[in-house]
Amino acid sequence: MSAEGLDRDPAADVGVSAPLDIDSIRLLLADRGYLADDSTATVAALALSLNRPILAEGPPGTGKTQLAISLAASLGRRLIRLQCHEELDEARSLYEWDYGRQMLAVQLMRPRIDSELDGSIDEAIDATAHLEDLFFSERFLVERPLLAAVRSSTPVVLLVDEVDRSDESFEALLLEVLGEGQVTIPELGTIRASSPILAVITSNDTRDLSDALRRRCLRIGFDHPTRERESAIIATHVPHLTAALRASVVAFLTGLRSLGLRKPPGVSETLDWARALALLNATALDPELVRATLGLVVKHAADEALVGPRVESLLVSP
Amino acid sequence: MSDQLIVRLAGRLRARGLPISVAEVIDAHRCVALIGWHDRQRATAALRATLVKHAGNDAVFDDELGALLDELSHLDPAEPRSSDVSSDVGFDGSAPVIGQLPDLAERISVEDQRAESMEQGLAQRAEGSDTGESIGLDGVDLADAGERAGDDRRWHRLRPSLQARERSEISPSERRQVERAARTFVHRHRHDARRWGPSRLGRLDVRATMRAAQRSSGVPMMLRRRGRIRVAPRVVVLADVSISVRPTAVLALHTADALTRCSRGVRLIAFVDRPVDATSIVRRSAPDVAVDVLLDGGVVDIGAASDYGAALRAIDERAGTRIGRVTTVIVFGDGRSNGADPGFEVVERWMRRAAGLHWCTPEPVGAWPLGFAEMQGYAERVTSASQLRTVADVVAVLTSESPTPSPTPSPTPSP
Repeated sequence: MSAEGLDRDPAADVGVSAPLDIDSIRLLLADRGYLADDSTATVAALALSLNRPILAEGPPGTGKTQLAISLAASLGRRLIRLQCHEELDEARSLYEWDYGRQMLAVQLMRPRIDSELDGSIDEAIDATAHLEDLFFSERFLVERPLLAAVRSSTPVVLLVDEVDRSDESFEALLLEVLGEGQVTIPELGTIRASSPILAVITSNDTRDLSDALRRRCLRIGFDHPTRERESAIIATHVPHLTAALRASVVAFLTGLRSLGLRKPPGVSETLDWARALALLNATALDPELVRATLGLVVKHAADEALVGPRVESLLVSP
Repeated sequence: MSDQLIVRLAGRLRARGLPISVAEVIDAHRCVALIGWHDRQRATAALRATLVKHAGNDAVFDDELGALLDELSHLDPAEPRSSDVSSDVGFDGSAPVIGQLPDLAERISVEDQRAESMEQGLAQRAEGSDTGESIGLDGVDLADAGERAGDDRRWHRLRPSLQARERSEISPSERRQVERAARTFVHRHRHDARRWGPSRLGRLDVRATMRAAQRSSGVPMMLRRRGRIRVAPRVVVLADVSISVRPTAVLALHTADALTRCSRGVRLIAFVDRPVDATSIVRRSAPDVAVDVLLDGGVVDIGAASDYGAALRAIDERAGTRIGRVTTVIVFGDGRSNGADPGFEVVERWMRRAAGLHWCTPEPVGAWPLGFAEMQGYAERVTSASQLRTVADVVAVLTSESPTPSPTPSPTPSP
């Protein structure tokens, strides 16, 4: 190996030179109340440096959406959100021509158009050819979240929430935006992103995503937090809760998750419950209080029937 | 060095069934170049984020990365400059030094040869060919063999493959046959969705027609229509994975796996005495890994006594609403309830609702009424019941014309 090789920066070999400060990302997120673990902060920092989308997968209520919101707030970027559902298509996610305004414009211009159509059909077509460009111009373009992200003049965070609820065909639509940072509109051509887009795609894993989409993303697997971590999250968001009650809440929820519920409580349910307990000025958990507030953490009747008889034992066991 | 490590890791992961593209390897290289090797946790997080795209493959990744690093850190101390290796890998806490590892690839190659010869030796010992005595294929005996060979880490990697052999793993060509049959099945059983989409037949779509006509001012006017979309069938596969029907369970799981990969409307429920929804396991893992996981007993208690009645009732309670007129149910199992209530009423209810209910058992027709088997009773209540022992039987079941769900009536084209 040559002497030059010894001093060479490995990052320079692969064409990346942006500084990577994982700890800063972590601190910035913590300032916004999002306690990211080390691997989440690492992947977020890599996504920023490499300009790659993040694929956040995991059960509901484990902080996937909140990661995007917190990243936007931490980085001072605008958050553009696309909530996915079964009927989502190009017109609702990318762009649409404003049909109503186009028709209105035609009506308003009719007298002038009629005056230009006095000659032969060929002459009339030539005379109105420029109108085609007028009707399919940015004047009548309705931008949807994906196009808005691409055309934004400032860096944005694009949240594509619950992508597993959309059809597989929608994933194909995402590929161009996520992979190339561009959108192609047949009438206007290709629009390239002028500012960096940090895309965060969340999935509850209700269906498998295509390998093509996965390949373009840096994946983070979310899961329910450890006891220590959950306690820290509660302490950050509900500081009024006493340490003893916080520990009881965390222990109870850990027990709940081990019961194999249809919908185990996530962090969002934890925080809802902790806030409710703080509002009720609770100082300790007792079976009566737990049963009265169980609806905040247990979301199915079958789960409630399973948990109901076990409340006492869950409170006793550490 | 990092190039070689990442490429080797990707190769190992591909060998375990993970579909890793060259682009992902390049991503991994770029990420590790940014982070460096000095922080093990972060370097691992970067590699995981780029190379592992399904949660079910995390364990395989941990296993292979651990094994690779273990090999590199346990190189023979007598070999020259072995300390350089660990410092380059950087997981000993030292800073990465790029220029100190010119011959690592050669040493990796030597290690590979040594490992391969050891694997062969272990395999021979497992088959009893080198000692003249039969050595069992259970974990204990072979674990001892691994310790004798002095490399438990490599042994842990070898053991699953030997166990897979014990499980009568189907060959790649047989797997392709099953996948082909599954694709045929899915294609034949497509049904109409509630949603509408562009179609040559169907109702006139005024909005799309007007939009298309704007460009040409309506001359010529091209009519745009919308019709029902044909979508993948709904299939519920129930697989008895108890030890007594192991060969059928292997076929059942491979069949369910192939169907699941063809269509997202397929659910796999594994059971012995209680059901477990195994769809996500199959979707997230490589085929062999998924089958191994389900037959390992970690997900379903494979040692329990089969109780078809309890399992069917539990499935009906939790997933019964999924079974409708476009759903086909396929059951793989011997129908032996060990004296417990067989749950005929559930089968009858599903028959009233489902497009078809097909039962595949490893036992011949003559054995159906014998012992604690309720197979005869099930056979009288389902659309079809057949013996299934080989891949050819699976292909016959999936490609037969009989199990056709009743499709939703197609819309009448409107002018």
